Amino acid sequence: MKINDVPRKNLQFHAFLLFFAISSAQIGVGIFSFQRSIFQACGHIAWIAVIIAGLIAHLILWSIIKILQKYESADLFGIHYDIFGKYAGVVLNILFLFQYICTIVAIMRNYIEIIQVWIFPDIPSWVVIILLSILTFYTSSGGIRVILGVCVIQFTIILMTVLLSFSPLEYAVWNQLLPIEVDNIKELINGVMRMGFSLAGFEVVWFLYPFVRNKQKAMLHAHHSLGFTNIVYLFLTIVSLVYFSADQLQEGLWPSIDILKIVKYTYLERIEFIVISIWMVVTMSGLALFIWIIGRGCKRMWNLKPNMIAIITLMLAFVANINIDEHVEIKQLNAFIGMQVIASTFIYPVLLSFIVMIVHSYRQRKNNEGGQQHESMEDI
Amino acid sequence: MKAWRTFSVALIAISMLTACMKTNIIEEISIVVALGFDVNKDQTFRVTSSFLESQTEPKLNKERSVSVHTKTSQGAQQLFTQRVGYELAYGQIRVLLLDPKLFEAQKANEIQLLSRDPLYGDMIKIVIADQGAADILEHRYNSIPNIGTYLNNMLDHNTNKSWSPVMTMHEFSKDKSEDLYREKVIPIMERQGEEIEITGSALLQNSQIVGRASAQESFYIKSLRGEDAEFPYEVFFTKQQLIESGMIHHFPRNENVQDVSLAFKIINSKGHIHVTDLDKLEFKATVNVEIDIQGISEYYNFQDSRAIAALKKQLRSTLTTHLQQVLDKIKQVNSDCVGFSERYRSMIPHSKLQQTNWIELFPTSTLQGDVNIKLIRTGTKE
Repeated sequence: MKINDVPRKNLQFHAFLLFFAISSAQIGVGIFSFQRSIFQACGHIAWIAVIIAGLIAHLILWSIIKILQKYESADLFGIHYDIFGKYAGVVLNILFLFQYICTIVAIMRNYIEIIQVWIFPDIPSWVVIILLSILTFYTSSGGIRVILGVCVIQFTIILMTVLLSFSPLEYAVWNQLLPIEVDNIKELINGVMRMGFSLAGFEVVWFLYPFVRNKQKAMLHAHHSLGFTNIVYLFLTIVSLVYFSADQLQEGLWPSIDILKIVKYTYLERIEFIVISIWMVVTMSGLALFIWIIGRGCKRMWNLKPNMIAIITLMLAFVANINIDEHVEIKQLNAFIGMQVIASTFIYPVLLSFIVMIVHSYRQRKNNEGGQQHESMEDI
Repeated sequence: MKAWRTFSVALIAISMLTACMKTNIIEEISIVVALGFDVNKDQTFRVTSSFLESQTEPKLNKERSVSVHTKTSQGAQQLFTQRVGYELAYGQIRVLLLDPKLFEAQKANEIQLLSRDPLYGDMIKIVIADQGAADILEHRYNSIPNIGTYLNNMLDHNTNKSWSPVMTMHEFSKDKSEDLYREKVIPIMERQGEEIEITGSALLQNSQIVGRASAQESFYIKSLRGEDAEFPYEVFFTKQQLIESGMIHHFPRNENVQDVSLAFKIINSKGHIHVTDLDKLEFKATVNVEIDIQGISEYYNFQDSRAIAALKKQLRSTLTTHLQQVLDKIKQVNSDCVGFSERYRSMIPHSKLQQTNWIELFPTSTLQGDVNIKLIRTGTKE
């Protein structure tokens, strides 16, 4: 496997499209329920946890792109190969691919649960999985540029949904944000960690970076995207905190959907049913992106056909989802993936940047020594 | 390969566009518009639903009410299904009517349980039916074609920017446990022959009705809860009050004026709560009102700025007295429906204040009312 991979010109895209790709990977079904999880951890100061987690995410993203900038045009697969060698590199790559398979399963299962609870209580899971899989396969098989096109559509859907979420502010009790106090630092850290799961997804830049045409702008647009996601999450957190009581936030499984229940126009109401249906596009674009990453990894390591890998991945996801029926199982799956994601998105890049720094400085020193020896030999 | 792919995508698209997971024919659905909950002597529910019957036969299309007896609010759905010819749709419920006995029997929690069902909207309006929910829903009115939608419209115009506080399913579900939150205040309605009237509001403490507020009192409560409120007001000034405020000097056509009545409309109001002393639990409730004078029983010299100042002084005094009476009442019945507790909690760091503590603390607090007046206009004449 080559460390650096320069895709064909017609596959490359402008750096500003990272804005849509990153927010697309970050925002999915998790946006419907993240407030509850953070509120359970740290109460009415949940918004502080969202800000802290957002700032940490910016720092991690900066370190990821700094590592990528040390290479000409490498992705995480190539970096693993370069730093850890052939065998350890492949093992690490497989771990990442496994994590993305688990994420696909979790996204699908969570979305299916929402459909079953809100719209069609008696719809079998396999029907939704097949529909979602067909759409996902069709999108991912079109390649990264098609996926990015869907990400742009997804962005508009997210933006419009967030705008709809202004309605509850009419019933806001702003005192519920006060007093601004941190009773227990452990609770706040717990809240930040839980928020980390929702913010995960920006690490797709590891894999998209080689495709960026103007790489010098990648840092800027990636941070803009992450900033957008942070603002969306912060806004929804504050709206939820001032709109719901503590009991409602702790009990409601999907506060973001409950928020939409009050949006009402003279010609239209119960907009949440429309949003849930349209959210299939949002879910699908995230799934397509992750499937594309899995396909790309397999192609880079073993030269396998991405479409074949996509079919296998979707079949695995189908089998896994069919076997998850109960809500408790879905919760366990989310908790398991949550820990994985925290490790791979927030801890691992920091660790890797230290390793890359050490390895590169060692190589540079070795090169310099080699050069000096060469010069002294010439002197003799 | 490309042809195969195009074909398969077209096939899937066609099958997806023409297929349907579930067919709902609107003519074969009866739409529930209002639900009423009464409590029987054996503590079971009598649930009455008012619905628009399905329209497969247009001539038979009519409103219908059905009552069932059940142990739980959810159980009623099954019993309704057994009594009607078509499927009942619950997604369009506009109003829930509750029997006051529901609160006495501590069964209000059953209503909160309805919010578990995604079909029930959060903006369903909740109202207390003084003589029972079935009394309103089962009566056949000559002039009201559909009682469910009529109640919805009635509540809409009385709550939307008007005097009656808004009580929705969302608001009703807010306080379920020990968490501190303002108490509920729910509009009360009753049937008087062929007419239905919203008579005032019920003040609750911990899901128990502990008092009632008139329309005027409800207006102040609504303002202090931070909701937009308008109110048509009528006040009477005695000669003594006219002398004290200085208004007595501004009746040029009648120097021997006695009592004066004044009609005005509060076109805008905004309430604020301030904590004046945290330790002594002293609060100041201020309501800023903008008024439009609509009529005065004696000719008053509105051209003189001193006359306007005197009128504002007297109005402020009268309205502040009214507000103070409201504050004294809610303190006396111990129903913090305005949200003093929330204001207090938000100012104390590390507060572990809970509802039970507040029920003991609230009667010991000092509440001071104040109304600030802005006289916006005097109609089309000065």
